Amino acid sequence: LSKLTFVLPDQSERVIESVPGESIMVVATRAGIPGIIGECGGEMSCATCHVHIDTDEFQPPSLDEQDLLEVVDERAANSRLSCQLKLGDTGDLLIRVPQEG
Amino acid sequence: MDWVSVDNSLNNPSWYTTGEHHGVFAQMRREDPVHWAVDDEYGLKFWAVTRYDDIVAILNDADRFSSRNTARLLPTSQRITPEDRYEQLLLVTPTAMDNPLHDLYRRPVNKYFSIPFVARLTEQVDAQVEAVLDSVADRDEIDLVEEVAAQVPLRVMLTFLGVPEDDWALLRRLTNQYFLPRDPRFAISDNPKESQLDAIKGLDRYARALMTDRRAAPRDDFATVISQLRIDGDLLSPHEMSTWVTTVIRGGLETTANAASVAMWQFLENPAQRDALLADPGLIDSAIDEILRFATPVRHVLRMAREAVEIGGKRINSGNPVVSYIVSANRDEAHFDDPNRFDITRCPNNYLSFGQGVHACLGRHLARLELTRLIPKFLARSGDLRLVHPGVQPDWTLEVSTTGLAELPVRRIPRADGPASEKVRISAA
Repeated sequence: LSKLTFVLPDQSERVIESVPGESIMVVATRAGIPGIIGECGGEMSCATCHVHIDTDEFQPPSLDEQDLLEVVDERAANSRLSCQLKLGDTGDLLIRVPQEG
Repeated sequence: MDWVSVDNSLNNPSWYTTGEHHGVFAQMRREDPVHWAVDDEYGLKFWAVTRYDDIVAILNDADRFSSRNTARLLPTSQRITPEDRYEQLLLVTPTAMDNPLHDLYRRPVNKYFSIPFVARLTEQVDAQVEAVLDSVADRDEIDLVEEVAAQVPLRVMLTFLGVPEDDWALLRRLTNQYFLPRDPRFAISDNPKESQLDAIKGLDRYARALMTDRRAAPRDDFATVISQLRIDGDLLSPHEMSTWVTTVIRGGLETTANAASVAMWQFLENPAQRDALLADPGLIDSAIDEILRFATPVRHVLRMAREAVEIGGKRINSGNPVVSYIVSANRDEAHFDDPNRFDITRCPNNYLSFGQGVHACLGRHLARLELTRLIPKFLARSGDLRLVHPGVQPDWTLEVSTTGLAELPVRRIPRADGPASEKVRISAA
């Protein structure tokens, strides 16, 4: 089983088991990872599941996702909305949770 | 209440002014939670769904429950023609659309109402709240609905949109005429449909002129954003732009004002709840949850079954209208203990007032922000305000699909230690 390692803004880490078929947002909110809220449930309307992630395991962001990422704090080249990152046969992942604004 | 009376009450606006509906919805949840209502008065047969869990299932199943008709039941049950859809700006209104078309229109607007974007409006909202409260600080008799609750969303939304102050009263009147087409203060005809259509036409005219102006002279406001939105690379048409402008005006002005009105009424009726929030400002999020649950500004949502589907053991046929009573779900005993009690410490409080899923309210974070900034500031200044009519049902608006107060008069009691208005200024500082 692969692992998701969440690095929080204070650099502490939380390790959670990946659940294929679910999004990183769903896995993170169920585990209570601070800073990942997912208020809209994955409809791309709230922008509260922003993460930094370096991997080529996922499809690149859609235009809608890129559009919503324009409003998040701490936007970076590796910014993603974790509701759009559906876990599949993915290996271990390192996910940074940015500081909230 | 017998079922024939229930069925013929569900679309009767007078019934909702009595407060009796909460007891009848409790009866429906107990005895027939997915009920085939035959409303001869209104002229429609439809499924009336009243339990929380069934309603959550429907809201999150947009594939089988279509929004293609309208988001709610209109004042008359007359069939909506293509001409109506055009005139009433229903053709590309996201609340009255299904996917894949829905997302095409809604997605480009989402970021302007997202949590990080709305959070940056906090200072502006605070300034508007202070201005509104200052405007009544010297007054001894106040209608909290028109002079406070309605003013905050009016100022916040129209400033955000970029509407000049001279036009605010016009848009407030047209929005009232649209939402309260039976209210003699706003109606222009005995036929509510005519009043509503006239209001839409007025809003449409205003929105088109605003868009023409912003296309020619862009500014830093949301009107300009709409005027420059693109779908598949193309700018929106005048009808499309007007749909968005009038949607945010209608959505922004009415429901938030109604939630604030009901909140003020409840806090003035329950000083212990007010004192609890003033003593512990950390209760604010939970208090806003409770305000939204208790008020339920949008009472119901309409869907059309797209295929045969079973809900709560009943077989709903393809094409059947399905009305989900949010006002009932928000008081479902299975999810809320003592549901008729206004309790700002209620936890959990998974209210459904903003809907869920694809059609979740676009402006929900802005509405929450406005209430979050208004309510504590209002309460801090409300110590000498008293309801003119305490302990009775307030003056509910004559409406079916929205909950609101027509007015909420209060009086300032004199203080022993000086003029009331002076005291208020000091306590607000």
